[in-house]
Amino acid sequence: MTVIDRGDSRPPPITERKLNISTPGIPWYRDIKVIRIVAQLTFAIAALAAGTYLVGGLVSNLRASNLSLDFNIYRGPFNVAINEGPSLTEEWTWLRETGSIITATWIVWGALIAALLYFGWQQYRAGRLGILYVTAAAVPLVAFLKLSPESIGTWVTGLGLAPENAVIVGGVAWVSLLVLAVVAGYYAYSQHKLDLRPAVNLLVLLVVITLLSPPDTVGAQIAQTLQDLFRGGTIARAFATGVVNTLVVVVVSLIACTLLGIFVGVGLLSNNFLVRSLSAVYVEIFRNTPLLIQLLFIYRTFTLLLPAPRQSIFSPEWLGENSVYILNARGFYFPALIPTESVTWFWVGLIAGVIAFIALRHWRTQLQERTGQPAQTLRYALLPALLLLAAGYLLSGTPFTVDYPALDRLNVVGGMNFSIAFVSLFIGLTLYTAAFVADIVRAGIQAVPYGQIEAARAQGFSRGQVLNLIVLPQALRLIVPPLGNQYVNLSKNSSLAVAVTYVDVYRVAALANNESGQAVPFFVGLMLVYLAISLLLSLIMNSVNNLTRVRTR
Amino acid sequence: MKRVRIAALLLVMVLIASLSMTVLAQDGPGGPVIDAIKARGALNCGVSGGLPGFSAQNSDTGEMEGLDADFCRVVAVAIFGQDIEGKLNLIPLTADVRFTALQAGEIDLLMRNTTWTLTRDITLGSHFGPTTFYDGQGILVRIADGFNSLADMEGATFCSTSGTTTEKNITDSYRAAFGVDPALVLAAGPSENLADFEAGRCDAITSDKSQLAGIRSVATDPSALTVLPDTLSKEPLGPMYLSNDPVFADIVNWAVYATLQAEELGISSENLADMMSSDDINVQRLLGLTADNFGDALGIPNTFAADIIAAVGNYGEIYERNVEPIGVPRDGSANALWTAGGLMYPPAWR
Repeated sequence: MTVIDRGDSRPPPITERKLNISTPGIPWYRDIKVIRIVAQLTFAIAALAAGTYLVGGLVSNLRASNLSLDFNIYRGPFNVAINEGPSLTEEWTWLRETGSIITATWIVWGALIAALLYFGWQQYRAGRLGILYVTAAAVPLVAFLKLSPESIGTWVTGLGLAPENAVIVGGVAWVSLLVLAVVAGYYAYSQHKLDLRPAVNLLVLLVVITLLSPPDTVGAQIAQTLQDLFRGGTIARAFATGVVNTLVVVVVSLIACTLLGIFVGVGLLSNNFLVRSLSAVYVEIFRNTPLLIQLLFIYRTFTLLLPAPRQSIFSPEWLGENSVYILNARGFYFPALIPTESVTWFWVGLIAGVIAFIALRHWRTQLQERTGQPAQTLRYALLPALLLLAAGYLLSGTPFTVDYPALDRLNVVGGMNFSIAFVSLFIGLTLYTAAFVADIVRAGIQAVPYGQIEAARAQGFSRGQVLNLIVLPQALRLIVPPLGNQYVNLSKNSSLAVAVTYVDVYRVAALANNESGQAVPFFVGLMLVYLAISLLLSLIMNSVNNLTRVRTR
Repeated sequence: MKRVRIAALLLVMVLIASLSMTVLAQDGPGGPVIDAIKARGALNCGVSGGLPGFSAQNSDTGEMEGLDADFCRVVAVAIFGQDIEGKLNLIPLTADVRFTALQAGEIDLLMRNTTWTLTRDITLGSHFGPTTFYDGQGILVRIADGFNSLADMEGATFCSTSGTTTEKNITDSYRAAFGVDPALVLAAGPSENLADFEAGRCDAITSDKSQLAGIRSVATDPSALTVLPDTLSKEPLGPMYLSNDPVFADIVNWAVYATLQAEELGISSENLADMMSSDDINVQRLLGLTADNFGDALGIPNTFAADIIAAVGNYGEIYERNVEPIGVPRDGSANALWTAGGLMYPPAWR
């Protein structure tokens, strides 16, 4: 091929390069290129052979012990009562109702699409073009995954086409979505010099959620399968209960340990001798003793100090005729709010209030940045939000009735209760992890140059302002990565629930294993659950990290 | 070049592994389990380790004592003869891990007050041997609470050991009685159950009646507790082994039957020497004095029954030594010999 010399300094086209395996002048058996390829091939074959051999051995070993990897075992019966969390005997009506599943997935899906579009718009306004292509690729792609020719056709039929034509039109539209997604995806890829990472994260999340959520037309079928899965005491349902229990204790402890950790971490640097030394003693004690021992200590302390149900501790009478709280060795009981039939208006009012607050606050903050006028968020945002909430409350009449706990013959009934097992695990996980969080927070704060604090003080900032406006925002980016590790640790430590008789996912898996004798599917399931929790936490913390990190060019 | 070496190393390792996996053919009766036991020179037997009367460590001698531990000894003696010093490993297991340990080959025999159930028999890849103890699930309550039977216990909370049949039985019985699930507190073992019960976390402990007797005996005030008359379930407890070795299964079964047959014939560890010169053909058959050579067919000594009686004793002696002290009498129970109205009935020894 001849290259036309236009007199500019362009490099020759890439097609000029040839695929050259051998190096001229050297015999092939001494040519490093050949040797490298042969070595790589040998290695690949050997690795493949070894892998096949090992997996084959594993499978035949499993078979020899009558074990299998059959996940259908989850459909088997589960005959033990679980009292913690959503009970086996309670009907999960929202899961059983076909409509609500599909509605729920559509709401999640729609919210994510909206978030992606909003994000793309913001990025576009910031002058980043790549995100446009990502959005242009993402929306048709997820639409392609979520929809089907039938569902598009059904909509088109609504426009007045014959059904058979509608399906054809729907099919064409459906395939064009994919084509559109691929083309836009290619352009997005070719723009990869721009910062696409946040958009790609969001896209991956979107696709995963879409794949997990039932597509439009087969939604009913999947809901049916779910219904079967969750009907009556199947192992799957018990396992789901265990997962929910684990998630509940992890999420609640996560929030509590963060708050307590920040509080103690700041306390470690306090000027007050008492606060400083108490914080240090707390951190050293809880960080340097095993969690299992702490859990057993807390659990046994509760069960030994608190009385049996018949001698329960009731709230004093001046708090009201009904018991505001009841404490005994089985749990802590509090009044519960039971929604009435007219509660919908209350929820509408609440959601409208929250949206109004966010929108108005956004508007006022922007106005303050633009004009320098004080935002006066409270006056402009809080008042309308509260008015909306009050309107919702008034419209619904009595949205809630209060269910007070009371002592029955053997147990406290009514209200809501936190079992001793849950409380012990929650307190144990919180205290233990908060000690680590406190030290991370202390380290983060100390890493902020002291000169900045002095400068802020010299400018007349109060101590609180220095902490909130100068120190914590800068400390945060040092705190976030190790904090993520602690969160992941906490989620895995929650499996120590077995020590305090809390029925978490591990306990359910052990029970199911004991009943069916098939350890492998349950332990694989367990690993997947913990892996999913840990990865999800990491994903969230990485996103937070991306938001808080210093942007450098 | 480094990769070439790694690849070569991997290939060699694979070859060696596959060669070493080749099973060597063997003469005589055998199977994967019994061959492994003989090659190892020791029987690995899984027990509870914390259950008085069945398998619990004696605090003075450090020996594992109890009915289950003794039946482990019975099988070990059948295989190795009277001297089993160092030839029996008693491995304590929790209820949760016992089946996995058996399936993984960590133990050869499970003697851990394990209930013989249909599900376990067909799904675990294992078989059950002859029942060594007939038990039933009961409920331990405080006398002061005034419960007379399960029917009085609506709304009660039950403590139970996790990973056993007891939690299923109480769920079933309670559902049948009241139509809803009971409240359960599932802990790791009997001692945790007792601690929870005494702290007021539950109104009752439910477990096998023999276990409840043991738990009650170590409670702070045993006289304040009572076991209700309800029997919630049948709990035939016995040995469990993998189903892939019929020879080992026969050894276990007939070793257990030997203790029953010996009691039926009136042979005990005390009169064994006299019985060796007995004219009774049934006694001679059991003690391996005839030319039947039952042991040869199983690959163990022909005198295995005599060895068992000499080293461990007959069933009556084993029961009296271990279970009577925790307060579970044998007379009139299902554990009596069939000649005394019980269920202990060895098949014909010929």
